[in-house]
Amino acid sequence: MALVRVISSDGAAFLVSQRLAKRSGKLKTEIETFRKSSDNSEAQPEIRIVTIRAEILRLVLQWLQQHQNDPVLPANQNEQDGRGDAEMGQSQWDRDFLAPMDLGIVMELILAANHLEVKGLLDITCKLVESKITGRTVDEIRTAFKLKSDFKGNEEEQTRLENRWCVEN
Amino acid sequence: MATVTRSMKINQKPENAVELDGLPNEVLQHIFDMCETKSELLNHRMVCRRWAYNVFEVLKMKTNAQFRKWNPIIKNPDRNQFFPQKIMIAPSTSHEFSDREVMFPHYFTKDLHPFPMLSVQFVLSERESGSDPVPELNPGEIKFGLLPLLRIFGETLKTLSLETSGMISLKIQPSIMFAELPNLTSVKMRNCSAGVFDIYPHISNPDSEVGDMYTTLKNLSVRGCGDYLTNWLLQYFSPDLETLELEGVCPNPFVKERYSDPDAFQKLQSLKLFHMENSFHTEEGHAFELKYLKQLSITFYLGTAKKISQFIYRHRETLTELSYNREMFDGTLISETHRNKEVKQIITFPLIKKVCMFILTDAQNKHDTEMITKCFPNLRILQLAFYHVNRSHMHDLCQISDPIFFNRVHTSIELRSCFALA
Repeated sequence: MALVRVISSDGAAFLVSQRLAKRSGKLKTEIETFRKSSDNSEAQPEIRIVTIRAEILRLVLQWLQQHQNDPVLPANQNEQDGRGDAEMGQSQWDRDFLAPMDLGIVMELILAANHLEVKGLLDITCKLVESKITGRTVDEIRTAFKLKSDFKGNEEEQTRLENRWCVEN
Repeated sequence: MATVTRSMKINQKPENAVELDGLPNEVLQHIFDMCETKSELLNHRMVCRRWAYNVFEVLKMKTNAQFRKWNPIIKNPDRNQFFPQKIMIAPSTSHEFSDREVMFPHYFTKDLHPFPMLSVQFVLSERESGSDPVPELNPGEIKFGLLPLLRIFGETLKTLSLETSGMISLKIQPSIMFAELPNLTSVKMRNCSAGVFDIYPHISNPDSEVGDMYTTLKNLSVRGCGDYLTNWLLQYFSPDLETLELEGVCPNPFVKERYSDPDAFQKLQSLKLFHMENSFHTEEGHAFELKYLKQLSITFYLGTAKKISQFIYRHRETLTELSYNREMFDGTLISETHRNKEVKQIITFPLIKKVCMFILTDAQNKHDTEMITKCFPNLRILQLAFYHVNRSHMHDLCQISDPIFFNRVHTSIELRSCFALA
């Protein structure tokens, strides 16, 4: 079985099958680039991910392992059909996988999924964040995400008025 | 204008926004894209300027299906309800909106482009003194300025229906408005006046703005819009019109001397005239011969019949349908001899297949039946619309003596003022 060594930003190495790694768009590209540039077809690729630390990279690979037989979603799935497959693809395993994570880890996982181009993982983590903000007031969202209003003058009030036009009765 | 600046700023990408809350914009948009409801998404606009920017980007990306689901004015999948049926424009604030970027332009352009048939009705409400300048909207209504709205719909708009309920000002020149509508084929205007538009400066030099962009307009219906606006529209559009409806416009618009383009009305096939009593009295100069006129309707003309009979007479060789009121036209051409004596000559319309005769008064005309048979030898459909008649008159008209005539003519009777039958 062909393997690839994936190294996190803090130096932890993960040895995974190339078949599994290729479910990440980023890793697939790296592997193919390595193959083209390498004279030795038997050489083991080594890919360093400088933006993802070991704990997060392990979670990504764990999710890929679980979903290794799922169809790979195209990166622009949303633009094509107007709706992501986050809900459709979220299994009980996914829910259990995400349940113990705090929002900070989820944010890191989102960034990792986005960087590694793992569409399914990106969808379920984004959906989780969306569920955290849905139903909250603006002030509650600001508090939860440590955001501050930076509207100037009457911008906020004007935006509120604009929203009124569009809200269904 | 302060509003313009504010709105534009909100929708611009803020500086150093990427790391604001740790997620890049595209991921934030991905999250927003998962919102289940529009109100939830719009709520996110209120959090901060970066979120407002990203919500706007998501709105732009929304697909047609999602937009239809959310958009209150086109969510009804029924064919005729598929497009905006009513768009309210608040006249008191129209000038504020006129240069402003409206909120969801990409929604509309993306969604409406595939549909060539679009009917948008602008209902302009008169501002009540002391009332809120931004009126509350009813379900299914959406409020925009006229010009930005036309910029949204402009390229696909085929039919424009503009209706006002009073004397208001949109502070928009019609030439600018029509320039936003390069594919417009039909215009219907009701109760607009020159004051709705800023047209007075252009009356003196109408040629300065006539261009190819207007040549797509084929159907024009203008009623209750006053002489200024009606004549302005005719100056621009008359060479390409195929159907035309006019009401009470003066002076007579069908006079050659009033148009710089000799081809004015030369493609006209259908003409409906309402309340043109005064128009034909003011006729001076040479009348247009409408070479391709097939359908003519002249109703409620209670003035002298001479001018109108001459007008009808000029088109006897092309007309296939004629609607008129009996009191106005009795099927004869009234001409004058050199001794100032009127002479009547029966007009024969060889091509007319359909006649609609409005009968306004209860004065019996014993020549009605004779006139119908002689004027329209190839008639197939006769519609009689009674307004004020007595029973015997109606009976006489329905029992026209020539059975051969009625064997080949389908006759229908419409009672438009039933109380008169009592």
